[in-house]
Amino acid sequence: MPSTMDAFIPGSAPILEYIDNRIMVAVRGNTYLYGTLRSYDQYGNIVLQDTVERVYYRQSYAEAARGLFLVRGQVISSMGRVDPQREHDTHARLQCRAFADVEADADAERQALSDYAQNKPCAV
Amino acid sequence: MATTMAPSNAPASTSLTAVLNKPIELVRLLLDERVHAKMAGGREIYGKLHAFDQHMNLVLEDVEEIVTSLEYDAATKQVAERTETHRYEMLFVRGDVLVVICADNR
Amino acid sequence: MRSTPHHLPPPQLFYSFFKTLIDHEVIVICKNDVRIRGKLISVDQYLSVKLQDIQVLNAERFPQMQSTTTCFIRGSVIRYIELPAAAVDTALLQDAARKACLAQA
Repeated sequence: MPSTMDAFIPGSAPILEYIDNRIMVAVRGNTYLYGTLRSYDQYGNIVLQDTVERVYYRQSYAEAARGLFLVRGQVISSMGRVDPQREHDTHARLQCRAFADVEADADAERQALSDYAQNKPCAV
Repeated sequence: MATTMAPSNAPASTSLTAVLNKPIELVRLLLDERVHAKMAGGREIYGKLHAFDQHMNLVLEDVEEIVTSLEYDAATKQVAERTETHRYEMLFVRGDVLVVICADNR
Repeated sequence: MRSTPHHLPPPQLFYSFFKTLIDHEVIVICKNDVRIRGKLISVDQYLSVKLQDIQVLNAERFPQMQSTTTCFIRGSVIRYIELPAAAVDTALLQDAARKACLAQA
């Protein structure tokens, strides 16, 4: 059934082939969700099972288990199938820290950049 | 007939109004020319225009991109400006961040 | 030249163009500055792309993107796509752009 539906769901063809796979979903901002794709609809909304939420800052990251997740299609910027070996290797190289610490660092950088941009003469 | 942006009694000296019914037609006149595009976020692009559409998506050849970006030093908490130049042989540019496009007058 | 009825969407110039580039290697540069090289597998009318055998070119800045091998990138987060120049017929492209513009006028 999904294959016949597919012709009528523009942009969702790539989602179908990820179903029941472990995927990474990059969400607007600095959040990445790793989970098993269980369902999707014509808006690109998806349901992830056994989700782990990760945030990154430079060479460090933080993670938290979140369980079942519905992600709105609108906020998904990219997604891809995860290679478990690569996922392990990548995170082994990075420093694992507390969620709040990583977010605080990322916020500090964002704030510093926006302060700087606001105090400089306007340019297109 | 397409709607004309300029009033019909415009002076004949403004010959461009005869050609340009819509702003997008200026971009058509720039086809196969070297153009200068400014993008949101302080990016400037120079390149030869090969294609565009109504969203101002572009395809440019022999592209030079000049980016002025802000760098944050996590150790000193200082922000510094850095200007970089990138070159691309053939580049598709998404129209949603394009601010200005004109002929390359350098 | 104005044979296209108004209720029909304008011809999707870039959608067709990207379909001709399927199976070629491209570099997608996202608005968050991630640069991803990979083989173009598919494209949709929002110009979202799907890449295979991807490699993140600035992995030192974006280590998080390295865990994936294939990826789907939403059109709206793309800034640039670097194309293989040899695979682009520039004369054909200019002609198509000119025609599409005139058809809309």
